[in-house]
Amino acid sequence: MSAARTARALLVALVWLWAGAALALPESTWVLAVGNNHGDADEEPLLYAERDAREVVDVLRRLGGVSTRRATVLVDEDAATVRQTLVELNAAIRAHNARHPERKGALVVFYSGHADADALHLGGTRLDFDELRGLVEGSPANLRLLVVDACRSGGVSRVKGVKKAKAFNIDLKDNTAAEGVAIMTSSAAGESSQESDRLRGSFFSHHLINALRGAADRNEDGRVTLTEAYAYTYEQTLRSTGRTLEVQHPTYAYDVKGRGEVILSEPRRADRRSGVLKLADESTYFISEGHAGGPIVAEVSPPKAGATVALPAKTYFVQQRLPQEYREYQVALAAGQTLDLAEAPHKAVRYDRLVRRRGGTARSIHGLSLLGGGRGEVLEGSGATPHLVVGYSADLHWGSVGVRLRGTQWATAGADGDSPRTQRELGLGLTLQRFVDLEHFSVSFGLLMEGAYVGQRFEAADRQTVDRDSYAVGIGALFSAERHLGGGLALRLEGGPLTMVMQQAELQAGAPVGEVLGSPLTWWGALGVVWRL
Amino acid sequence: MASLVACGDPLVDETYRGEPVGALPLEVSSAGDPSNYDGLPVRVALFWSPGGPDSAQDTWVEQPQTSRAAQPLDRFDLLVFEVPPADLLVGATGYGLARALAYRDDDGDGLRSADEPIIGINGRSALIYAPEPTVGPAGNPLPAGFHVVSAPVPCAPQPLPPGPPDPQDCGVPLGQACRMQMPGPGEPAADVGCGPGVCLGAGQGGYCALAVSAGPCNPAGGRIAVVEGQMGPTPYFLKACAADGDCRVGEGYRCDHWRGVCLAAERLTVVLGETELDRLCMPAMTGMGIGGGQGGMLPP
Repeated sequence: MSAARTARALLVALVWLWAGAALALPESTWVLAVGNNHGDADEEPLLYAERDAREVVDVLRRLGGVSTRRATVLVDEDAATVRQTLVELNAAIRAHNARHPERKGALVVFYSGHADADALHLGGTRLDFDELRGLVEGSPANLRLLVVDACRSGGVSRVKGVKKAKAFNIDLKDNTAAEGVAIMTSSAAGESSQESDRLRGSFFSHHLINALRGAADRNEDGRVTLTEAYAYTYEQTLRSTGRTLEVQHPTYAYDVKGRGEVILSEPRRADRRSGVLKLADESTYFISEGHAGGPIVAEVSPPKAGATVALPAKTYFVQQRLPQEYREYQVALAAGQTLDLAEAPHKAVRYDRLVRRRGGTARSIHGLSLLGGGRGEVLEGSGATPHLVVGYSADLHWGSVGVRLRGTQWATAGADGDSPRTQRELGLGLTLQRFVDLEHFSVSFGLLMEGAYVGQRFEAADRQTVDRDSYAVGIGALFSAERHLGGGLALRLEGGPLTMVMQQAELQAGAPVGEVLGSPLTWWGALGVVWRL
Repeated sequence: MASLVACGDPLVDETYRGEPVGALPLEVSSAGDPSNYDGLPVRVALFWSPGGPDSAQDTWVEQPQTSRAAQPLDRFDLLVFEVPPADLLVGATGYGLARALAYRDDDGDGLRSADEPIIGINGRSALIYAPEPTVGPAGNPLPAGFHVVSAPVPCAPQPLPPGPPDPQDCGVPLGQACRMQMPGPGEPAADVGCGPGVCLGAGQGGYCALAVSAGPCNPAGGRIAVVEGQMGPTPYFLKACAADGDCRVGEGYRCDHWRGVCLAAERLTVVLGETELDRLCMPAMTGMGIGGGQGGMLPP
């Protein structure tokens, strides 16, 4: 789970200006990604801002068609360096435009780090938003895209020329060339933004990167537009932070006119070092590098089944979280390959098994059980007796603990056939089990302890009898085997040896002559169902 | 755990039959070689004579659930868990007459079938049961419960023998415990604890009595009864009684209600090999008969 850092409102200002009906990022696109974990002296250092910057550049190179020669990453640099780099990039773009007026260059600037509503905080130096916007807006690039991932985004709406909008869809249907400004913030004014240790990045940046990898391709045309990327990033950021202490509500404002969707990436045209992973059902996927327990490279919740995600060619462990189980895939993604998870072998792991092996997010799984069975003879001549058991259990990583209620009643005529009687028992028991999960079964061994009320009622009309109310303590071993049936249901068989300690009457020729504390050893068994919630 | 288990009643198993309404001392002996009965399914049960003294002959009806496996030399209390049903009692008399009989339970069902022979009887004793205090077969008051008595049973009303005339203190504590001291060479026998009387019976703590022939003294609180002695049936002054409480019940004595004296409690003695049963009831007696229908002697 994410670790809440210092208040870090993620401001993603998306400012882009373009002239003409350009769609995809042009071939001559310059990218500047700035990442700085250190802000002002009184601000706690971030952990993943610099990594976020590198990841954005990487995905734009692989999937956005950006040339390595035109991608610059500035890590832990001050405001002067950023300023100077922007000036130099603009000069390069100007020179390019002069040589190739028919295909003017584009500029993408990404920032991840500390900021406030007025300026970026770069290692004790500051770069005002007005100056930054001026450098970007004043760029000779035809398409200008500014993404700022930073703290305290409340004042972003004060940026000149920006109007707040109710909806975040960018709808550019005018028949004129598009030009304008669109701004996204990862949280409303006053809300914090968060980094995630598990994702090793900020929530918003992580989901933006996965959006560009293809998770946001809602219309499955193989291209991720700005609208799609924002919609996906907004939904996933809200969902992810909903599990944390503070929820982030990305906001959106734009001032755009013209037409033409901006395509930020084409995941299906992955480079020769990437492959495409086609996801299966609509659910949440955790993609880890290597094997289970490896670093998470993507947490993806595609909008529909069959979504694709472009990833570097590697082996991955993919965990798909469904309502009743996890499905785990171990795949090797080759360069240029499209691997369909729906056709890949997987291992289904029920949530109770996940808890027992410390997987998943749940710490315990609760279950209800209903079993019918029997117990061997504890009183001479009584034979095996039936019983019904209703139980509750909690599966924890170290074992399972349960409580159960057992009831039984049986009637006999006595050894002489003329002494009808009814015996009732009501027991309250505690179980402790340790499960071993096999491929098709889960078996367990453990302990059963029970305190029981025992009542004997005699109905011989022609005899003097004494009804008896007593208590017994049972201690026994518990062995069980469960077979998963689906839907959280499992068939369970259990049993073991048992000793019941109870006060017994010594009888001679059928009449009581004394008392003795008995502890007969017998067996018990039951068959039923367990429903894990 | 122990405190939990200690709370509550002791549980019974399937052999529990209830709380006995009667525990009848019984012993099994053999007229011949006891080994003759090794391995045989011998059972002893109570058989009631509902016809009573007015019937031409005794007809014995087994009370179900009273039988028990037995072998020669067994001594036990025959537990009775159910009182005999009304149809086994003697008409409207309010009492029942029974004997313990042994049979061979060949089919193993715990009940005597018509083809299962009677192989033992208790000829010297009988059982009388009264569901409520009533008048006994000899016309005497009969408390409620089971009473083992010597057989034959006087079934005709007869008065209790009178006490001795001019009762006196003869220095004999009738009915009290005593012991017999065996004489040394040349020494006379002495019964310790009975004064000029005699100590009857070494078992059950002894019983002080006064032989009728011992002299003219008629002890107060005594009544004459004939008992078996070394010289045969002999009349003695025994302790008079009206109820079992007048006797040393804890030591196995009870009040013989038609003799009116304290006597050692009878046991139901079943002798395997004896099968000829005398009538349970005997005619009215003018003397004091005891064990075997002996007549008695009046004091001079």
